[in-house]
Amino acid sequence: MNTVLSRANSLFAFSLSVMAALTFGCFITTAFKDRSVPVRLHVSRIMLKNVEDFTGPRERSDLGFITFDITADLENIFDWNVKQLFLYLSAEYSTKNNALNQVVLWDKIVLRGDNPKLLLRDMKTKYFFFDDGNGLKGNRNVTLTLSWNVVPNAGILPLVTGSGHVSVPFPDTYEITKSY
Amino acid sequence: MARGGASGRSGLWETSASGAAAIALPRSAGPPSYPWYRTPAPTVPESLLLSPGCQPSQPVMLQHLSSLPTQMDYKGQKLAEQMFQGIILSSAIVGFIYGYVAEQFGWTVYIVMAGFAFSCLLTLPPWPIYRRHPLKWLPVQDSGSEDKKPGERKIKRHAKNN
Repeated sequence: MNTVLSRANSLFAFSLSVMAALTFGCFITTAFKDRSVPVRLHVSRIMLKNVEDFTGPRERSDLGFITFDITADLENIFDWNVKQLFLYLSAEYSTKNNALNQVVLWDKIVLRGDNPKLLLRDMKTKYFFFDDGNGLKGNRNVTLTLSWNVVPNAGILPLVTGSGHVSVPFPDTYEITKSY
Repeated sequence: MARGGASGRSGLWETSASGAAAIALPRSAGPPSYPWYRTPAPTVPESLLLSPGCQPSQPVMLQHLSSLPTQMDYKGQKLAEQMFQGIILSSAIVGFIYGYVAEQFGWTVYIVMAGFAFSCLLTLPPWPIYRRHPLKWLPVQDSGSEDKKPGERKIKRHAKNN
């Protein structure tokens, strides 16, 4: 502690240790919080087509088009340790080929400071709802749920499912596209 | 390290014996024949007075820089350390509470950085409050070595100042 450099070294190292302790404190105060909120989902329109899937083998697969609504209030999830939320809507169903299929249809990033109340109406899916085969035709039970990943400032990233889901049956027939 | 004795006698050479002249020493690694390199004087004007008539062979600015005092005595070091630890800890506690209430961790970081800057200002420069307890050196021993030429005197180093 005799020279300026030695004092500066000691001061800086102490500050960094204190900062690390504060970050751990920030993590501990929010580590055991429940991050699930109720979510209301509604599906307004479903259309089914049978098209060739160019990303896979050249057979015709089912392609679904869904129009949906989401209502959720995410305000209670945000606290001082949350940087952003990554929301995604996923569809779950079972076919005779696979016991469980899960497909992500739509996602969104909600930063801290953005409006946390979600009121989305008549949203189209972002990603294609392909099935590997023809399992969507006439499927009785396709369940849509909204889940999210909480991205913190310090600590673990929990994956939380919203408490609310909707199950819809898919139509039995394919739509015919007309090209002019 | 402040000198125990007063000003310009041949107590000049006793200060070279304290290895704690950490700023002055690297420059004086060469032939030890220029007295102003070794003087860790408590105040700047005194150090200028102590160059006993020999002309400096370096530019004046560098000579001032190398003779600027940056040392503190031991009680001063302890005081400085307690002070910066206290300031940073209290700013950390205040910052933690404020960040928790305002729900923004960024504020915690800003408050701790402000505490860091304030304690830098308070403890890095060697203010006079850190020099209030200078070490008391033993008086010069009259062992007949005072008529040797200054260049031939051995440099003693205290172990605890390394």
